[in-house]
Amino acid sequence: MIQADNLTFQYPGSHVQAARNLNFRIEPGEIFGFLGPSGAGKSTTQKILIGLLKGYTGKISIMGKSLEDWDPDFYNHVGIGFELPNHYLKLTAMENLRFFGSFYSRKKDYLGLLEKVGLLQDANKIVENFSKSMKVRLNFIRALLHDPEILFLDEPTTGLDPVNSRKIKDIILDQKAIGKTIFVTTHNMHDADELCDRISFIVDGELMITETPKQLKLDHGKHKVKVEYADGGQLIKVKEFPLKDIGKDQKFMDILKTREVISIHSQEASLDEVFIKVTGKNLL
Amino acid sequence: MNRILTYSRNDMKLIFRDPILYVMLFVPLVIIGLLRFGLPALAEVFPDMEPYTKVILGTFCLITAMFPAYIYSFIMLDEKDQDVLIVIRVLPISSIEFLVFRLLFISVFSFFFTVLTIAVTGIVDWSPAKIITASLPVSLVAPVMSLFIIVFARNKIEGVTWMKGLNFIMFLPVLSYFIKGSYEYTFGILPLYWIFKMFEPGFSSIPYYINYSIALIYHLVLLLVGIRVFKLRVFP
Ligand SMILES: Nc1ncnc2c1ncn2[C@@H]1O[C@H](COP(=O)(O)OP(=O)(O)OP(=O)(O)O)[C@@H](O)[C@H]1O
Ligand SMILES: [Mg+2]
Repeated sequence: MIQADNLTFQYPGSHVQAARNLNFRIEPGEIFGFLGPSGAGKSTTQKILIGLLKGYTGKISIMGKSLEDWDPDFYNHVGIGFELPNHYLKLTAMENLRFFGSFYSRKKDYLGLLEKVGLLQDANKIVENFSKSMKVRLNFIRALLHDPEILFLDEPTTGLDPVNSRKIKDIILDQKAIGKTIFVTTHNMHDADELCDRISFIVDGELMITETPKQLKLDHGKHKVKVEYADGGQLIKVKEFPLKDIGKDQKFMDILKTREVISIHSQEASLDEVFIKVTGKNLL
Repeated sequence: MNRILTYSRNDMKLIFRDPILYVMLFVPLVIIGLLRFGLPALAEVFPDMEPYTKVILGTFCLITAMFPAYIYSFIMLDEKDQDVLIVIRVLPISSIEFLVFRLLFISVFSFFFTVLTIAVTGIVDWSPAKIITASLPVSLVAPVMSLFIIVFARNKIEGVTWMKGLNFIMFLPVLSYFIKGSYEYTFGILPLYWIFKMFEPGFSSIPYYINYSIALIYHLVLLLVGIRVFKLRVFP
């Protein structure tokens, strides 16, 4: 659905490459994430993919067509959520949606979208008086206005409280369920873990690794289980066992049979830990 | 047709919800009213003004015609500032369509104010056909001015500086009425020189239709150059 080959980009007047030789391929129906710290080049990559930044080298193909060969009809097929909310501040939420919506021929469900992100009762309020979170949510539904096949979402949950963040993530997952292809950037590894089928770690404009979150955590975790159990009286003991042939591990089985088990955890790494291990950098 | 409605409805909301812009829409009408009744009164008090009344008319045509440029420059600087222009760039329309409609609206407002200024003040007794044709080059000044402001100013404060600067340069050709001899033609570098000469040739011996043609063509060229620069710098 989206393919980038040797994508390199440098801002005019800058002497570092904001994107360096990026290679990735996003399959139809997939949620693909760019996970990386601030300044890594996530937004830059998104802006290149949606045709806002020209002068890149390498090849980009979207829906089987080279990005350069697309005409404005491209924007009928893609929906874009920008990093910072951008609205007409003097217009109401509804007026903003209607204005931008009027450029698409597909039928729009403005009220339905507003309701999904909890903005229905604010539909006729001037956006200038919106809170940051309300602006972010309005920004998000604008990307969905025309029911596009591909979504580009730049940090869709940044600036949201857990409840609203949950709403947005559910909508993203719903979009995937109905077959949409989604590119999402984030520096929140919980979001990346939960949403993405595959993620790329990006640092200083370079992709370090592209994998499923599950595989990353397995590859970089310890292949062990940690068992906590009560040993007789008050004493709580912790023991680790290798996962391999664990069913034949006599000591492990003894504990399960004879002791009071408090918890059992497999020791897969969190995405944070994997990120630090792979890139040598912290996410934040 | 639908598209024109979408754009104009949106623009009207943006104008009427901002007291400054809203007032700027009516200032030209007030100016025209003052001219209508004030100018004859002034002429009675200062009979020496007589040879300059057409220069004054030209000046006021340009002053009223510039208000749409101020209004729309503010709107578009807001759009730039609030990153709305980026959203417009990712709409399924050719990147220039939006700009062309904007320039068209500016021009229509300017045209309306110019025709009104000439017709209502009664300083010249031009035929309706002449009033309308003469207003055409004048109505191109504001779009050109807005283009340059939007391209080069990064925010409203810089925008105001640009407006002042451009206004100063624009009205320099008025000085040509005080210079006798071929030097006055050096003011011809400035596009507005040709518009002023349409109203009052002064010492110039160039006929009306030449002044008119140069004014029209000069501003059309500036408009095309401005659109091109906008495309390169704002909508790359
Ligand atoms: N307009 C610009 N001109 C020059 N350099 C820029 C421009 N925009 C971004 N950069 C630089 O490009 C690099 C990548 O920036 P980008 O905005 O893509 O990062 P990001 O991963 O989206 O970060 P964040 O998480 O903070 O949004 C940074 O070093 C940044 O300073
Ligand atoms: Mg970013």
